[in-house]
Amino acid sequence: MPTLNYLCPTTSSELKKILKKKKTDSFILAGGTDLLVKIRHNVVKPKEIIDIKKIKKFNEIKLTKTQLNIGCAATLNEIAENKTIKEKFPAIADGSLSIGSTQIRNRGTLVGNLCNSSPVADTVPGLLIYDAKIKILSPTGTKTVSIHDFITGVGKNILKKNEIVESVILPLPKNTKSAFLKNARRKALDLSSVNVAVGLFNKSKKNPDIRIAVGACAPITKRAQKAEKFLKKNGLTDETIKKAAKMLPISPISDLRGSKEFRNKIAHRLFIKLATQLGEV
Amino acid sequence: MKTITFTINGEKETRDVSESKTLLNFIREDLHLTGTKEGCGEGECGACTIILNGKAVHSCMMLAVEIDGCDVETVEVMSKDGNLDILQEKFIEHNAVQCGFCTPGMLMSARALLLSNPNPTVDEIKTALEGNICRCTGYKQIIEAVSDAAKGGKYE
Ligand SMILES: Cc1cc2nc3c(=O)[nH]c(=O)nc-3n(C[C@H](O)[C@H](O)[C@H](O)COP(=O)(O)OP(=O)(O)OC[C@H]3O[C@@H](n4cnc5c(N)ncnc54)[C@H](O)[C@@H]3O)c2cc1C
Ligand code: FES
Ligand code: FES
Repeated sequence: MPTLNYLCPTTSSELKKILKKKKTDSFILAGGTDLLVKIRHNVVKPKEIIDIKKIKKFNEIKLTKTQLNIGCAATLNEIAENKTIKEKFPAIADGSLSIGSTQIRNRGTLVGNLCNSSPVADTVPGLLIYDAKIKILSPTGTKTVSIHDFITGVGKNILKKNEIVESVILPLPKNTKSAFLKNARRKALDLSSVNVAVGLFNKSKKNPDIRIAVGACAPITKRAQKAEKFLKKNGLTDETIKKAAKMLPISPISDLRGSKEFRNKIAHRLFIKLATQLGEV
Repeated sequence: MKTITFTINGEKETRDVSESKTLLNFIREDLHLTGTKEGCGEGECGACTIILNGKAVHSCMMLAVEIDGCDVETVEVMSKDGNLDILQEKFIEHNAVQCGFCTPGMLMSARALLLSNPNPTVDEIKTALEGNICRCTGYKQIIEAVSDAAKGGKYE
């Protein structure tokens, strides 16, 4: 590894000063489970590392009356074990729990998963169905953007070089059931060939407020708006679910984790399984 | 170079370390604790597992400077005055060690589990060990050894 300058601010104001001077060869370090692999393979060559974990409030998972705030240093295991997240946002809890292994989840963060912006990221489908908001911190202050505008390409997002994600905000939903499923070659330590999150946000089977996101099947994981609209209009039955499966916005590629045809089939199957389960109870 | 202070296997230490050194290399090369192994160097195998503030983590996926102010345990913490820890004894008894390369990592993952959950189910043991790969034993003996060591729920 080349020589590095390591910075470890302990307050937001200290961090803001550092961000003001941040150059393009300076990288934010959360759990490091993506970044250290990239450094090892010379994909990135940082001159400076900014460790954000020692800022106390970044580690918090905080519930208010209307929303849940997940700080950027909260680990995947803290998230997967959090009672409120398991209850109200199971697609986030299960997505987090499906990542890597115990050791990876003890270090890796949800915000790191999001900022890495890989099409296979397992927490992203959940963030999409809960309409997450992303709180961005820059030297001049904070702003909030929609998750739907955050990821802009494979490994790309809207963050400018002197911005970081401070937290992810999940509005508390009423009357919901939701779930996440992932298909991988083995249970632990494997990236998804397909991952799916589906949520039902009202109690109506006739006009279901259903939200669907299928990941690892396109450069950017997005909500399946066409399928959602179709189901809202035509109700949730075995037949409409099968039809909706054909409307998923997926254009999978073939790679070592599965062929195009395989991914298409698995995406349909996972979606049908989840949508049917949600419609049942 | 940066000066860091941390606890290693119960002893407080202050050291100068290069900012670009991984924790794994620091443990092996600077602290001369060579029980911790490098398999893959990128989070896939678990041979480098250590316990950081009570949690099992990969030392290959961290910078050494990150442990400033932290509590670190390596496999060397387990035996005291030549006496093996119950986990180590049970690994031997159940033939859970063949070539032994995965063993330090396995022991650290198992220890982190038992310290936080003294009466784990088999599923909980499997989850705790899911990041540790063994090319020799086939895992069955390892899981049995951990279950056996946990009996009575008094691991410390
Ligand atoms: C063995 C192994 C298995 C894995 N399995 C999976 C898997 O099954 N599913 C999956 O989705 N991923 C998987 N991953 C990838 C990785 O563990 C996750 O993406 C993890 O959530 C990343 O979080 P982190 O905190 O470690 O990120 P880091 O490595 O610290 O950061 C990732 C990137 O985001 C940037 N960044 C981090 N935090 C911020 C912030 N607050 N603001 C701005 N930028 C930021 C960093 O600069 C870096 O570019 C795996 C990785 C390994 C090594
Ligand atoms: S050497 Fe760290 S996980 Fe393989
Ligand atoms: S005993 Fe050889 S790798 Fe596990």
